[in-house]
Amino acid sequence: MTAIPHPSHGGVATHDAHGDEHARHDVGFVKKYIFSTDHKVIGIQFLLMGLMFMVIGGLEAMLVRWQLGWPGKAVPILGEYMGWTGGAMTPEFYNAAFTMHASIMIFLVIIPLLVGTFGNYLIPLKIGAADMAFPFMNGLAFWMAVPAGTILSASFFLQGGPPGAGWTSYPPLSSLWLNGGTLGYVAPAGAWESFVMFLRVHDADAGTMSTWTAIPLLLNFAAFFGCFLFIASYTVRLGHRAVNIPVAVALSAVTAYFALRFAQRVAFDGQAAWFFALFVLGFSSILGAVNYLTTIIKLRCPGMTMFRLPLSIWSLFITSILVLLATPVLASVLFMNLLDHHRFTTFFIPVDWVVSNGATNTAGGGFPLLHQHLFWFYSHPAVYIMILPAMGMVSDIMPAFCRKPIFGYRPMVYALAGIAFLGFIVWAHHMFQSGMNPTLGTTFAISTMFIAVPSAIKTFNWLGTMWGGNIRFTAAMLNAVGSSRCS
Amino acid sequence: MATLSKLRKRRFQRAGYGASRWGAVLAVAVVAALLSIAAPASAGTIGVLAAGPAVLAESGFSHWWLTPNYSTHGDSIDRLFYFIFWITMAVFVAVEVTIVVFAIKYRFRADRAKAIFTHGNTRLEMAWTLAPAVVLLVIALWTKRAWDDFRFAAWADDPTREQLLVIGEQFKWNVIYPGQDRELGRYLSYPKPTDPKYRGQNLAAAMKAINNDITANPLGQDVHPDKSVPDAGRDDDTTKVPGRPVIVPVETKLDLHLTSKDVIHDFFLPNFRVKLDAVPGMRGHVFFESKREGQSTEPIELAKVPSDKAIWLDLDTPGVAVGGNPKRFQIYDPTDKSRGARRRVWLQSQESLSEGARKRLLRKRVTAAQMDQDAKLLADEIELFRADLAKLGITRLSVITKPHEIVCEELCGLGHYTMRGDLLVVSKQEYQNFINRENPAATPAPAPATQPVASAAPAGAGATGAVTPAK
Repeated sequence: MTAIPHPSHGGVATHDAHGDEHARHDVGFVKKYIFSTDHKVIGIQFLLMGLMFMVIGGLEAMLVRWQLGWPGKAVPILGEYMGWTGGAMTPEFYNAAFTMHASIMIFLVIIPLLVGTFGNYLIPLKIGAADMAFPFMNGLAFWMAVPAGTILSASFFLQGGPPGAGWTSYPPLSSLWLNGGTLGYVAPAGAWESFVMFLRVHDADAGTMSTWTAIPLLLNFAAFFGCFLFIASYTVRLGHRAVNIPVAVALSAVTAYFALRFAQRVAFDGQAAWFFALFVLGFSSILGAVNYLTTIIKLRCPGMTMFRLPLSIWSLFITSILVLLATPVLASVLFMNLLDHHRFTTFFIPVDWVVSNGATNTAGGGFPLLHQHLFWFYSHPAVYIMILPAMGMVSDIMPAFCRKPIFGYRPMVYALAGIAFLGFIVWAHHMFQSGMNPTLGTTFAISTMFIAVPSAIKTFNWLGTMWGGNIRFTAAMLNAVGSSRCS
Repeated sequence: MATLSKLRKRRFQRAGYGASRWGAVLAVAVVAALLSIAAPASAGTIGVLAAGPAVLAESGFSHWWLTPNYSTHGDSIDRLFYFIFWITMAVFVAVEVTIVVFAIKYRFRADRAKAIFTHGNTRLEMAWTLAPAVVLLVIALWTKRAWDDFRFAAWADDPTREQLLVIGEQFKWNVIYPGQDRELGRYLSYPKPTDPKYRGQNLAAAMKAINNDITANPLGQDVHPDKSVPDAGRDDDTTKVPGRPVIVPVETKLDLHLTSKDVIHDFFLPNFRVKLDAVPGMRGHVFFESKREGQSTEPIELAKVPSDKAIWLDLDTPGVAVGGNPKRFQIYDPTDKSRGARRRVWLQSQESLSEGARKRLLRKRVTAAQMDQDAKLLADEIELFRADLAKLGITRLSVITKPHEIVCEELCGLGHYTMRGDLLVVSKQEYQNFINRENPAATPAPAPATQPVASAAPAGAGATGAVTPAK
């Protein structure tokens, strides 16, 4: 059932989703636009989040370009704010700039926009369903992505700054601390500082406090609060709205506070924040994937067989399989990295690890390449997660404006499936020079060669769609033609 | 005429959606502009391909095309590169042209009744599936061959191969040469708090002691303390200061062991098509052999030696002795009769004539400021220096004209962008002399030098035009 619960009726979802229009208006502004479970609203929420992070990620790219174009020249505004000598960018900031640019763009822009926005908005509409299979989980996927984004943004404000180990964060470089840890305890001076100190993890007796400053604390509190309030608004059903709302708010605030303290302990420096944020984001992705798969498999309207699905839906379907199977591996490697970063374990830290001629007092025994294998086992399918929805959209846009069906629908579906399947057996083409056994290099090179075949099929089929058409060059069509060349 | 232009306007307007006739004109104009840009670029490409790397061999760098290749396996890689490049270029151009042609030919026309309604063509699909698959299979097999040439060298177990150990650290390269036993010792073995040596101390004290031990032995060399116990590492040539150039012999099969102390670095030699990550905890092997053209050192007549280029001193050069700490080849001032560290050094290996001349000027109480003001001071001293060296009996010097760069190609931290090293390819005899310099008496007598012996060569006679490389 896709019925949307109406707590104003005592929390009993008895309404037929298609009838009783009056009941929908009783949802109220908050449930309708903020804590919504409607796929269109959630799609737009992902859109706004993605666009906001695109601006931040884009600014990071501009900073990288500034350093490349005018090395050593004072960076306007930021140079003074950061207190750099002469306003010129420091090497650690440059490393952080490209790391955060990539991380934000991949995890907080492209995947939310392509998979989150377009998937959420289009799938039910295109398969003739009223909504997603799990509307609440759909909203949860968005609301979990928000704290993940704020934890990642918190790294900008932590001591040591954002991580500078690249978006691939290879250990042992990513196991080094960014001057993080704890600060010396400073007693609060006024009411505001007392409030911030209340949110901050601190130990006055030991003389330490976390490096999280006011901005990340507040941002993250708000994000956690939003996430838990979303959950509470659909689970707290004690009776009348006048009871539900205060209880939900109070419960969410308390849970958010403890979650914030937990986040501070886990994300003690920028690199740990990065690992933790992506870990949470992975959950959001997996929830979304489960939702999409169930919706596409179970909620197609009568007559909509799988091989009548629009190609954009096929691509989102296959993308969701990739997300489902690959993201848990990313979660595992992020978790291992987080444990290593806290020096609880040495999954990736080798024996006799010496940094700057100083002993590290780690037992070692780990293998740096293990991270690379696990990381790329996700990240290669991740690049397909990023491009398959776009390919699917091109496959839907072109026929519309060429005024003829897509050339070779079934081969296109098989090509999508081929790309996805082969995408799971090529990951070590990111590791040819890594020191792994060269025989592995040979096998991965061969499988990588063959993944070009289904991609070529798609390009030729798009050409075939244009052939013999009557093409109207709208903005969408121009975009689609441009994209077809890039695959 | 007004009617005609109105008709013309209406014909363009009838083209329908927007002004797609003008769009076609624009498209053609853009394509023409692109082609006009591409033509000279591709001519340049062909020129480079035709001329080959000889054009760029001077600098060892390339501004936009492949760097010159000086390794024996590199040519097969480059051939593979060109093969893939031209195939993909052909496909790219074909697809682009097709898109442009289709975009123009099948643009909306109100007089076109309908688009051609088709769902596809299975035979065509098979054709354009199989054709790329075949091409890619060919590329894959060729790739395997080039890859195996590089990674699975035939001489991997050859006991006569030259081995050396390169250890990366933030942000310099360390290099260790095996001594005369041609065997490397054990490295990167660092003390731990649980070692018996630190028993009885608390952790903080133990860590402090360990840090001191690491500073004293930064590469963690593990040599058996009892000298009567044979240990391969005892005669290894190591140094505590990282960043010295890596010296390898030309036309010799090399096995370069590669590892790291702290984070993952990457040992990249652009001019040798060599690349491998230096991973802490792993020991990688880089196999390559430099062609003769890759030799960094070149014997040049003393009179023609450029004053700004570093000079490779060798035992075969008259006047050169082993000295200094760490041991290196130097030319001492023959008029200075003092002994040991106090002897004046005219020129150290890998210094240039102008650097040596500068030191001489400083000894003559000429200040650096004076040298900067009057360039003639230094120029005159360089000529004096040349004359003095000629008096020692030197007729030619081995000049480092083609040093190669080691680039770190894996993000290793803040200083990654500064992490570069030097690779010098020297002649086989020079290499033998170099690694035996700790025990010069043990050096096997050098083969009769092809260069005339010092004392027999006055200025005119020995200065033949041909420059033969030292053996």
